[in-house]
Amino acid sequence: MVRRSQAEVAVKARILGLIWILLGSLVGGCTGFVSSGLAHVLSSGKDYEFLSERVNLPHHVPQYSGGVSLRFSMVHDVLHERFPKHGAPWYEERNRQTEERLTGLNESDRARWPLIDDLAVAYERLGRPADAIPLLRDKLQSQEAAGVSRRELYTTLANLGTMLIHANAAKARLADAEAVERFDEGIQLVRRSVEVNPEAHFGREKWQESIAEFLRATFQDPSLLKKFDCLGNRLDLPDAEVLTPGFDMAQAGYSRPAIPDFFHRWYNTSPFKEFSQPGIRPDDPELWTVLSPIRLYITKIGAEEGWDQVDVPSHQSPVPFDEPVLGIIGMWRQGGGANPHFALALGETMLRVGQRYIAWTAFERASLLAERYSPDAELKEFLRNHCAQRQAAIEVRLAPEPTADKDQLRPAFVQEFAHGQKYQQDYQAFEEERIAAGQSIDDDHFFDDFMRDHSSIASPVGLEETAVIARSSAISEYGDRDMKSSSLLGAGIGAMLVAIIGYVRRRWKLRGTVDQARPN
Amino acid sequence: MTDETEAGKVDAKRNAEVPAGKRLAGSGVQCGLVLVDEIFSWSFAMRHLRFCCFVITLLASVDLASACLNDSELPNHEREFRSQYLNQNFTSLEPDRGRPADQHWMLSATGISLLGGAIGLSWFGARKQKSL
Repeated sequence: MVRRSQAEVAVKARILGLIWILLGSLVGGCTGFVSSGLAHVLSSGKDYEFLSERVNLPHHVPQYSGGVSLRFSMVHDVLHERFPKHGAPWYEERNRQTEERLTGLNESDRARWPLIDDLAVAYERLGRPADAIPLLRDKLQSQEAAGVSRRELYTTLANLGTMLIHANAAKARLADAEAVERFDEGIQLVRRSVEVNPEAHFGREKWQESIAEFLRATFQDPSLLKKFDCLGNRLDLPDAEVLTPGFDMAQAGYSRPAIPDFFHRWYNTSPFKEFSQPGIRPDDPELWTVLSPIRLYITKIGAEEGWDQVDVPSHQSPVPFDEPVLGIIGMWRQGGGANPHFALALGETMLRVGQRYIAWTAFERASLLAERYSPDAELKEFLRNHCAQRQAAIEVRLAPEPTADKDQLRPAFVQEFAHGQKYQQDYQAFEEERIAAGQSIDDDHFFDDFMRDHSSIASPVGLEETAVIARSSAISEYGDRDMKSSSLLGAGIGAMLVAIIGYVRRRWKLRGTVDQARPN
Repeated sequence: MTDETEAGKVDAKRNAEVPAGKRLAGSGVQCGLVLVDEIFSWSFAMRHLRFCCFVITLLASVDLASACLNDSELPNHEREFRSQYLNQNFTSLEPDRGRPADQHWMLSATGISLLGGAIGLSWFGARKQKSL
């Protein structure tokens, strides 16, 4: 009877022990759950760096389906002249061939039209835009008489407009009425070319139109050149506002190629979901409809405060930064080349999207081109001072960064610029030599030997084209797992503590009983 | 909750500012642009000289609106342009730093072990004590 009651007591003690363990694990589990939850609530972004992934930037989706999207290395390369450029002998040879072909064609033959474009462009390249204008006027007249479609007028309108602007800019600045009229006609023609083919060639014409409008406005009010660049970026915007330290874009709205929402609203929904698929090509025309909404997250630049007072009707509100930048790159590479207005606009724009090295380079180039900024010596001096001030501000920001060596900026620019110029000189010397040797410029293998001896001049695209992001879904998934495992660990610790306390307590009690039972 | 990591911020900042081009040694040739000193004089000859310089400068600045030329070569240029920049693949879209191993299973396993240990200690500990 005594043995049975002892067994019952033992079972009861064990069950009681298990209940205590259950309670301990419950308290421990709750503690783990709450502390883990609190840790997540109170955590900052840096606590989740291990969840981050690299994603493309939104400007990788082109403005138009099948269009070209921007890479920062393109900007770097135009600033350093790192691209092939034909020399005068090549255009002279092309004109010789074109004139031969034209003589074999009837006056009304439509095959003449593209040849006239070639001839006119070559005249322009050879510094004779005035010779090209009558040719293009005749072509336009013939095309209109033939009743061609609006789209077919595109090259004529764009070329004629460009050449009228080129040929009359200098005199228009001096308020020569005839030149101003021709300059305005040029703007009108470029505007028509945009209407008939808005997405042509990186959207160059649209930006040519607005830049020409701005320059036209500066003819009447040269002081605008102290207030704005040709895209409407304010030159007097304080450095602190465009060089925002850290990632606090709330105040300035600048300093990254994408707006804050791109980083803070990274959901697993369209278009983010598709945009972040591994191996995706953001410029794939088939995906453009799905991906194009991501362009809403590109940082907008230009048309800043006060720009609405400037007579630039074609550009009145801020635009995604890649649009004018691609336009300028197109004009720089395939138009008239470097000029201070483009370099300044690239500098101001790159500064606003956080590309401080490229911005520094652009200001350096703009400063070197200052002689062509305006006929007014004061404005030239203004540009040089402005560039030096922006560069100094960049250098101050770069100074504390261990990887930055501000003293190397200028020597590096000089080296890189010399490299680009050398490439262009070699390219043109090669052309001249081959033409002199009688090789046809139409030969598809004309440049084969040159390319064999020279690696690609284009700069590689790098990680500057990506952003590091931690998705909300990954963070909440991690948080869930963390709370579950913390609860389990807490439950284990709580249970073990209770078990140890119970064990020690029983041992202590048992020792007391044995001591009492021991005979004195 | 969505966030960009602090490290991500640093990375984005650093990456956003990597000079795109490969820096290559040049020949040290000067840039070829001569900056003209502004010499201010009201003498008759100087005024004429200045006027001539002014006109030359104006003529030299005709490319200020340089731009859109369309010829038969343009499509080739654009093709090459695309192939030079847009056909490049980034080395990797993975972040630079390695993702640490998920330690949740270790925490869970430890918790379960402790729980098992606690039950064992309570059950067998009581039996051992009873035998004493």
